Amino acid sequence: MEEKNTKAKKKPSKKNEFDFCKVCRFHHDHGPRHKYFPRHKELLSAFLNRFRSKIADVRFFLKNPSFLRPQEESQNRVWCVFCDEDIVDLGSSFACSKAINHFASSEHHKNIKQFLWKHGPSMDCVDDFKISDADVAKWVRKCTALGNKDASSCTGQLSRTSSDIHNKFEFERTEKETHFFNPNNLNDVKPLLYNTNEYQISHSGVTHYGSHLNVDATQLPPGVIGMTSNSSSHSGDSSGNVHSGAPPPWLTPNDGNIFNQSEITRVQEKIPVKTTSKLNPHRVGAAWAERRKIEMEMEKRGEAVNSNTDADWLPNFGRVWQSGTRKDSRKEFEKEKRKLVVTAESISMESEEQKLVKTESISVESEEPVQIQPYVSKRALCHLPFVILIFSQRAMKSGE
Amino acid sequence: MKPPKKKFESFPFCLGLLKRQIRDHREKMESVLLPTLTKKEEIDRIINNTIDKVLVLRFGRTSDENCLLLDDILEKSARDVSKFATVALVDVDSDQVQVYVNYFDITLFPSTVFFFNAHHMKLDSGTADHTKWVGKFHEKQDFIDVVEVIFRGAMKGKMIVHCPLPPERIPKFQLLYKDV
Repeated sequence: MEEKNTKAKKKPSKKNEFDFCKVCRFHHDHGPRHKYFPRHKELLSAFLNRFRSKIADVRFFLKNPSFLRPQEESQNRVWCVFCDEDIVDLGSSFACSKAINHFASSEHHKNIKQFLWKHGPSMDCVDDFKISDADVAKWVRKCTALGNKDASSCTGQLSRTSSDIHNKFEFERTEKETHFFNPNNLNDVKPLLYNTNEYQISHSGVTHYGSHLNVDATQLPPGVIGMTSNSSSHSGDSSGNVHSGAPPPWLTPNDGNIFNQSEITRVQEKIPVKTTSKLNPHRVGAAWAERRKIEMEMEKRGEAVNSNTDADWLPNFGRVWQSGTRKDSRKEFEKEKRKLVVTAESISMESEEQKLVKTESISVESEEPVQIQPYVSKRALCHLPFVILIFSQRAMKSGE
Repeated sequence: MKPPKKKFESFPFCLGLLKRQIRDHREKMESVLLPTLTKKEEIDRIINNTIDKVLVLRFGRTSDENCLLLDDILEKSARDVSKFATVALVDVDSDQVQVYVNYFDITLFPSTVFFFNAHHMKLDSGTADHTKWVGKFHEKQDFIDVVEVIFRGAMKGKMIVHCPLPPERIPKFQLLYKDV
């Protein structure tokens, strides 16, 4: 009766629903006790350390605000693991400005607490992942100071680049380009999320846009401002470029170009062909196999190969009645063969009666008394009766 | 009165028979492809040219009944093991092959010797001679199992492997050292 009571008292274990652990990256039904598992703790510490390093980068820009160049906007992005969103610095003039604002926001704080409550055993490290309002205020002051200082120099730079663009594309644009870029269409053009390549820029009618560059830089769509003086430097030297439709330099016949097809084949021939295989390097005869493959490829190409297989070649073979290594057994066989040849020559010179010497010469080698023991393998031990039968038969034969 | 039999009632049976005939004919055609070696150079060449595959050399003569039975099994299984093994037949009656017959200590026929990357592979089948397989195989699958075990052992770096067959399927013989 008592046992039944104890059994009834034991509540059946609750079967938790399957839940996905973001840290361990797998589904489990452990429930809330999963966060105390040692493996989860290890992964969590690694997970948080990774995010700490990202926040450290952002804190660097918090202490040292710098201007964000438009072509680097798409590269300046951070994934917030607590909020599950990508923070991209689009349309911002200072590096990591959106990231700093995000990490200082109350929603981010709330998500950190929620994450640590769900995954982490302790709430001590909340401050590591957020930026305080005081720091943000300092950063804003630094940015404004920096902005006032460099305002004039920045606009000067932009105008210079704009004039370069204006001059450059007026000369290089061909008559085929009929697309006219209307500034009224600016509102219809959606801002680009990524840097455009030169092809996109050439077809966006940038040349006509050059006259409208009195507008403030921040109001321009980012894709167009992606043009810098770098692009002008590349195409200035050659006779044509992508915009003019000239062939790429690697396809034009050029003496200095090392990528001629004939030279490529010459270079490839000089490179020794290394056969890389995924086979076990410790397999039997691996070294021999690799050497043989290289020899066969050289033979295919028609090169002369020193062939080791002469008429007397024999593979290493572990003979039945010899002990020692396989090389020793081969050497022994070669000795026997030589002796056979010598004795065969002697027989041809002598009469027929001396043919017995041949058989005697072989037996002379093994003059040492050999203890003959019957061979019994491990398998035979299992079948003892069968073995005993054989022995008895032998004994009977010897008795006869 | 019984209704007349429909013509196509026996059609599946005929089709099965036809398929079996086609398969047998195809196997016969493929059995012609097993090379028979009669010279030492040919044996040397096949040993040197078989890379990363087991080389199965059968030493025997076509007049022997056991050899013919073994050859039948080898021919039928050659295609199945072609990805990891090459099978060749050696005629022991040829003069040029006698050096190998003496070197490999072949006294009983048929005898099958195994190589991998020009290295001799030994097989412990519970008999007195681990250097070769003496006699015929009970069935195709036995031969395939033996070759597979040799290949697996060779790929792991082992030069001697244990035979996977039960003792009743292994041919028994006695090795006599100088008639003792």
